Amino acid sequence: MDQDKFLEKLKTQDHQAFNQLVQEYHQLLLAVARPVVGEIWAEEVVQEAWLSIFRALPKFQERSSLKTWMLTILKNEAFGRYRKESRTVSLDSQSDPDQQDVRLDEWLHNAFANDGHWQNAPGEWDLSSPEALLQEEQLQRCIEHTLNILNADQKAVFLLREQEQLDMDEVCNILEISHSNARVLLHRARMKLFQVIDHYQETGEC
Amino acid sequence: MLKCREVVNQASTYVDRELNWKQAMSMGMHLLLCRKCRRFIQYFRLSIQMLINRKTLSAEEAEAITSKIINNALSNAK
Repeated sequence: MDQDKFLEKLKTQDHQAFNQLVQEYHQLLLAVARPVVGEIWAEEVVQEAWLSIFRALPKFQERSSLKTWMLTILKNEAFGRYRKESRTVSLDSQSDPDQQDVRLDEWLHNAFANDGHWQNAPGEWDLSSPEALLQEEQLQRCIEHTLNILNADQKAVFLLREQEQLDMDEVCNILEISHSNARVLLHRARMKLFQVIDHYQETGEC
Repeated sequence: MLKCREVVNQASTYVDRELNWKQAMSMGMHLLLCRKCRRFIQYFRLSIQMLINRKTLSAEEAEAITSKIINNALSNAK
């Protein structure tokens, strides 16, 4: 189905088209909601956002892309919820460095000698067939695993940037974070992913 | 001369082409001379590519959410 037809169907609140939208974006919306409202509320906030999106679809003006429009609706839901709940509920704390951040720092520490050059460089990956590598089920599971071990902020930046290919300004706007903060989060997330795949190449495990 | 550690620290900015020209020059020089860092950057890019290619929600999961939302929307409209 081409993009215009798809949009027309969405605007008539077509069940199948909406289903396709949910399938494509549900995880992204969750990832964006989590750092704002925490794990406990994310699912509920996203359900509310889907309801708002569904209702507003017939009025969608196409002044921005569908994706940006949906993310704006989600953002309003999430920050609205945050303001409502922040006094009573303690949100997930994202500031503590978690286990995986410690693991990454150790890896970085051991990788280099004192002079700043490689001491334990990553070994060679088996790239005899890159396409086959992408299809490997176990590796897919490892990538899912990486997403689970990212903290909520890292995950939100990572998915918006890599999967949705938004530019950095948009990412910063949606998450209301600074450019330098977003850069650090993105780099940490990518390094964790690299580390997981490198470990998989070496051991066959995540 | 840029150190390997700094190559790793700047890897994201480099692959996103956001280094300034001076940084980009020393990165380029380093990569020309250092096989290990070349390999690192290659794998780093590949890791990102693998994430982009991953699959999303299953059809059943999506249908469960869709039905719930649409039912909610319809029942509230009445």
